[in-house]
Amino acid sequence: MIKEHARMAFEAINASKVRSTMTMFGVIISVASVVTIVGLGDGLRGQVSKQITKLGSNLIIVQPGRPTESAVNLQSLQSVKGASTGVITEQDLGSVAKLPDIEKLSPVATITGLPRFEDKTMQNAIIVGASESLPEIVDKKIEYGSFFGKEDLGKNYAVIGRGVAGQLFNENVPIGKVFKIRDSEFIVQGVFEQTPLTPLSPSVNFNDAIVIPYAKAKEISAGSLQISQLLVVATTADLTESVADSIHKALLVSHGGQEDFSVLRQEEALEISDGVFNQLTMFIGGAAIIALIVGGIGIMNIMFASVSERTREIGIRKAVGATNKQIMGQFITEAVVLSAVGGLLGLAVSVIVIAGIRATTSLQPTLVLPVMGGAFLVSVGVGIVSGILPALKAARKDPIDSLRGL
Amino acid sequence: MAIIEINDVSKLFGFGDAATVALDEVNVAIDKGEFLAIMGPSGSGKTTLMNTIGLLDRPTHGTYKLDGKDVARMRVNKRAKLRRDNIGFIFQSFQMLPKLSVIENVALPLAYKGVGQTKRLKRAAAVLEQVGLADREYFYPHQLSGGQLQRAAIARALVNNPSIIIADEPTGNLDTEATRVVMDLLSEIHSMGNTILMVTHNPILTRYASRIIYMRDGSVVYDEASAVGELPGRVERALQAVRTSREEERLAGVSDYLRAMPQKKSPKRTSTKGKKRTSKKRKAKA
Repeated sequence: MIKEHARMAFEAINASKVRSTMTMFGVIISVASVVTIVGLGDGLRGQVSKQITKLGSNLIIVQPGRPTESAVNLQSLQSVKGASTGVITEQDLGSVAKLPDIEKLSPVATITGLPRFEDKTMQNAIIVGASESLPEIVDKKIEYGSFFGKEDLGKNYAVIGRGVAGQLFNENVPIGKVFKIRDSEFIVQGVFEQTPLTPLSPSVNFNDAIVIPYAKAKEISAGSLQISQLLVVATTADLTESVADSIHKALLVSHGGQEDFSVLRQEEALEISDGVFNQLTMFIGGAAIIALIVGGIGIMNIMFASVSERTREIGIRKAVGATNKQIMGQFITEAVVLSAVGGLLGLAVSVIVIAGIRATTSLQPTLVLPVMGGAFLVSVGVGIVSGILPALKAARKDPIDSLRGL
Repeated sequence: MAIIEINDVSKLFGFGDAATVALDEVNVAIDKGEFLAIMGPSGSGKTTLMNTIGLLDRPTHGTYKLDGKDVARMRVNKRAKLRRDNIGFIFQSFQMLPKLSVIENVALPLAYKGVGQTKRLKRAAAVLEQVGLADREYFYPHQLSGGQLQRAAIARALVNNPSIIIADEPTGNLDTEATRVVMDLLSEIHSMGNTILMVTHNPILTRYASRIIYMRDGSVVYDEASAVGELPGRVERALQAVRTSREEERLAGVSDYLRAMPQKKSPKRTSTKGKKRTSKKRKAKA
């Protein structure tokens, strides 16, 4: 009988194509938006985690501010700017440097100031003081020239991003050119490779960065230099946790027991960013469920209209012996077929939209199969629920009145 | 044994002052194999009686035994199943589902019985051949003439091998030729041993019936058996009494004939007092 109901449902839907399509739109749009948005969120999470993982699993980041405040803005070159409480001092740098099992260590300190080359300045340049191991720690390659070595830490060397090369010097490889920061002269030593801009991490823009030796940075900022991050790499991945612990202990001592800093390992960073994305996804998913319910009300509306319109048909079916249950089954099946077809079309739309986004933007949304299955099942459920009332109305119709078309 | 036994069946519509009596303590017993014609003016309760017998409607009070089983107080779903298995309906306006082909329409009662598709199409094809529509199986209702539609409806009524066939003015929408074809078909079905109940306004058609019931104001006022193929005495006399030589008279023939029918014997309840009493009685019973 279910096969029979399904066949009749398809016939009924086929008979009023335009109306059925309009009805299905609610379901189509909500299913498509759930799947697309969750896919976008999932894709972003994947991209961010990839970025984080790219830094290597033995990276430790020390930031000022309580652990909860740091969150996503990892390895940001400009994250401080007075926003977070607490500071990391040069003394901290020294005590961390003394700890065992540390392979590489670099402070990241941003300096305010306009770089000036001949008559030109660059407003949005980010001036960073760092140690010689920064490129290895953050996995950046030098395209032209070289980064400053350990022996160059006291020299006026600078390594610049592609953006700086273009905007300040008007050429691709301005190696050997001399420019000024706060009236101190610096010589361009190397140029970073082009960094592709990725969503949600515009602050990791090495294209606009000017990296100078930390000691030099301290010198030109007249002692007011603030360290925004300490990047530490343990000698092996296994030691990362113990190194992070010992950094934590050492800093706690030098900060007088006040935990106004945070020591983040890459794993923790992943967890934090995952948490943010999960919350976001749940929130948007909730909104989409509401959309589905609205779609269900649309289906209910149409089913009521359909029941009124097909009074005579109901009468005929009852006269030839259809039971109330069979009539009810027919109309519920129709509502379910409407919503299920809508759900499938919605899935198809989301596949197309996601493919379109992947092809045209740098976002990498994914198709999350459990969400697709879930969205489809929910739309079928909405069909059942919204079909019940109209089907009851149909089943309870008096056959005599129905045959007269009342 | 009577296949249908109706005892003191009344049907009221509405409540209180607005109550109308559609059936007024009707008593009828119908045997298997009868071809019963029911006549009477509009509003005399013919259709209500048919609907009650056809299990589409429930009597307000009284008993109705179908095949010895009391069905008057049965639950809705049980009555639907009994209707499906025992009763075939033929309507004046055919009542075919327009979106289904003829053969699917005919097979519909079997679908609700749960018969498989192949089996039920086979059975429907057999019945369609019986009514002479074997070449119209996959036509849609709108592609058929009235007479063909009514024959398809007869096939649908027969497809379940029902014990009773109820035809409510089956020729009301048909021309003379189609009427003849349909009535011949009903007659043939009757001769095969089926029980047929037919409501009609056309006195000529009573010649196919084996028994004629006249109704007026919700009561059976006259009940006459007659040989199949002959007009019953009362109809014949009435037709002779009414001359139909002039056009208007011929057009008015049926109603003139109806005017010549006997009046209801019991005193008619016209006062509201009487109706109130009826409704009170009903309430007391409820």
